[in-house]
Amino acid sequence: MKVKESSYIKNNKPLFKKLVDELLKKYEYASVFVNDSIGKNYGVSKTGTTVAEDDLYSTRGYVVKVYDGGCYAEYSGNRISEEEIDRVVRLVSEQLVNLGKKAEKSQYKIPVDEAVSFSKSTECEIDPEEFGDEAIVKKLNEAHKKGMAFDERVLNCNVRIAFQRYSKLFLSRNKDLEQNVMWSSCAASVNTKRGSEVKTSYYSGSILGGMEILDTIDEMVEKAAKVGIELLDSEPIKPGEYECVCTPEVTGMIVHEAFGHGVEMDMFVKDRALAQKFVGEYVASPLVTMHDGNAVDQTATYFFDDEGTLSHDTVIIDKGVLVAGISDLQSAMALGTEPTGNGRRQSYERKAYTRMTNTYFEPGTDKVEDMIASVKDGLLLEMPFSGMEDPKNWGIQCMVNFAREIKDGKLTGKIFSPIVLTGYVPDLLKSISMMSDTKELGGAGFCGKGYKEWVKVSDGGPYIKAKIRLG
Amino acid sequence: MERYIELLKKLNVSTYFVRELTAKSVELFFIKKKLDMRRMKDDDSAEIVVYKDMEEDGKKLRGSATVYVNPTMSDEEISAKIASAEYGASFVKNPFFEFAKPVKSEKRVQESDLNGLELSEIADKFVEAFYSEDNDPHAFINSFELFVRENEVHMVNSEGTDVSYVKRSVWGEFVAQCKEPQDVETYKSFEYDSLALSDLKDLVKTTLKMTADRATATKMPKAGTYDVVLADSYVPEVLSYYAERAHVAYIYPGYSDFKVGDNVQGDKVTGDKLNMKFGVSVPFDSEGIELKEREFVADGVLKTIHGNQRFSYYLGVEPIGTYGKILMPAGKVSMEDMLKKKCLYVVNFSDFQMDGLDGHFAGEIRLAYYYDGNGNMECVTGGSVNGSIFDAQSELTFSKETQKLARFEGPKACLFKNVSVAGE
Repeated sequence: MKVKESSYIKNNKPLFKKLVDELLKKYEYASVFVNDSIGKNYGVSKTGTTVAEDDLYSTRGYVVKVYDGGCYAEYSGNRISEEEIDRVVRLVSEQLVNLGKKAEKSQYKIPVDEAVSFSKSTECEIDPEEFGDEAIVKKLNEAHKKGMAFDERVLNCNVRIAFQRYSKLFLSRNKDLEQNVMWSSCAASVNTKRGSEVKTSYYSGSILGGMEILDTIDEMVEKAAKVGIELLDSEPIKPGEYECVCTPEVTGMIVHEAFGHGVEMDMFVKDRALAQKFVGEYVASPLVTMHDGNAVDQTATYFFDDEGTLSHDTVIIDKGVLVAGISDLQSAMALGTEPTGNGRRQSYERKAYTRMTNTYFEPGTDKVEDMIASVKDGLLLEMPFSGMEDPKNWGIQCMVNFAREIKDGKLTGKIFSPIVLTGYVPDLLKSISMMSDTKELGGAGFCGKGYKEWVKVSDGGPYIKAKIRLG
Repeated sequence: MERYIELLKKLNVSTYFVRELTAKSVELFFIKKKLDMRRMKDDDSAEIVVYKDMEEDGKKLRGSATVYVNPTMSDEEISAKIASAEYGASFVKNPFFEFAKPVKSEKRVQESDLNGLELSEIADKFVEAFYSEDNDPHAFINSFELFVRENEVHMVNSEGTDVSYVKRSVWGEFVAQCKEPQDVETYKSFEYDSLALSDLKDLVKTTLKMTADRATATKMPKAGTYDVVLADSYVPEVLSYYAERAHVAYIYPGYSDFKVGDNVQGDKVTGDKLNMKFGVSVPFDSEGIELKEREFVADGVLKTIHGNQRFSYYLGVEPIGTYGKILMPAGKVSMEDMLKKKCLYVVNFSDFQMDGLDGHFAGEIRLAYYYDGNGNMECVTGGSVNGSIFDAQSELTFSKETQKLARFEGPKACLFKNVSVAGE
């Protein structure tokens, strides 16, 4: 079924149109972006049950953007009425555009505002709001009990599910765009304890859709519990360079953190990305082709971004050669390129930045078992934990939860934890020598720009084999 | 607030909590010295928690569910949200707990020299102070974001709590860049609740110098174990381990065994014993519990467990609220003396993580100064620190020099013995 539209947007659209019209009387360019979303988290763990809307997923408000003096200014608010239109127009002209008056301003052109109008919705099989809290909590309770019963060394089994249904409206002089989208995600994490040290193992998944994702939770719990017990016997790793096979989740972290952030073109505008100097050059093995955008159905699939640019499928690396970055509208204007539909906001309360969406490597032709069999002395890296971008220097800062030892092409059963990945991104990508023949994407988490601006993304790819420096 | 309470009463919801937030901000975004975007925000929203008391198999239960509302919603919409929360809460079969003692208080305006100025005036003063230090011969400001905020929080619950406060703060982040001999950058963020213009100037100046130093660093540290010195925000980041482990949400599920009276650094402490207090950055926590300065750890012995109402009740401890600020006295060793011995002083990580569960602290090194113990210093970059608080905590050394951050006041630096470092 189609994701339903927002009655708030439907009822107030004439007011938002009037707001844009009033602003256009004063400014060469004006737009309004409206967001109405509801998102809920459900969780069951030893500490109890949670049913709660999420303050990040559940917001309603709008952003007004105007072009004044060669530069842009934005007002974020959530009250709208005939009287509010007058107040907002006054506030924009009397206060907003006068901020930072002493500073020299960047100079931009007016964006191309092509006439386009549509209203589109994604699909979902089971609407969470119709499925209901009772059925969701019941399923999570069963999964939690299964995890706790797995082994007496399980300290806690936390199962969670979340969804967001959002409706967005973008209006400018020539654009009238509406979209209704729903994503869902779920995760199972298991804690086990060795002395004072608590080990954590987790598996997660996500879809562009609804509660049909609940079917995957039991398998996640079982896998997480098994690994949680295995981690109790893990050892620290000896720092050094290893031949590694990465699971699709770890591939996703490398794609996203190590490389993806470096091709966000607002970083090009600021001269903060090394990638800018490598466009047209080999940055990865010829086996590697990398995408960002709407060619897959995942948590960050949408029809237009938060600045009214239509979404794209951007090929970033083509057979090892860096061919393009991704951009928001303002960065594209500064660089003289086409915007790629990657201008995203944490919410209507925040500025838009260049952000990734669904970012992944295309699959190769190898079988996973052949990849492991080809490693004489190395590791299988699993379960990404955290990562941080370094677009300026392409330094890798990623952590995975554990690595399985491979000797003479076989897993020995020995595991190491935790694992810090370091090194230079192109060295890692150029060392990729095998890629499995299927890809997997996941988007249970959020991506920040530095330490803030959280947006929903997904990432992934195939299993890859590469040489990686570990600590 | 009155509207939400009235609707809750109309729907016969007897147990509830409402937290209303009115947020205003002025935001400026710069690239180099040019203003790239101006933003203003003013909006209102509220979190409503509906509680439902039940009984099952003779056990008292108290469930809850949370919804978010705002003034743009009609009475019908808000009522539907409240009704859905009440329905959701009936499936949340958590053991019963009591609320903290109710608190009633007049609106408190956090004392600050930021009060009395327009948010735009505060922004202008910070921008002027910030760029007044952008004159290093080698490094310069690449980009800067400034957020001047005023938050008014009003919290009411059905048990009689009715508290509110207004707090202004200034948050920002910036990137310093140096192009020669290598093109490198340093990221820094700051948060002040006063007109701390000279602190900001110092931060800009030292960050520019650090960035110029990093531009000269080419070597990785040699792999091995080092005495590692961490400073600035990395000190409270490591110490956050103790606040996390002393939180009821860690103790109740068994992640932490901390009990009042425990030697949290272990039995054989040969380094500095920890002395920490909980400080107050806002007058009430997110459940409306009044916060006040409290002894946290004295001579390495845990004095206080903190946290929310529910887990505090389950553990039978007083619900004193969740604390996010640590106060600590200065240490006994100067940084100059600390750095006379062989050590690795890491001044910048790409990202630094302290894991409260497994006790590991780790990060990739952006810039470190390697002191060889014979008066020689070398800038190094790359590699990573991978330490364990369990191994390090008995031999900590804190600096005489102190720092004052929004969430930490105490020693500027700490030395950790024998920490594993990945490198060449």
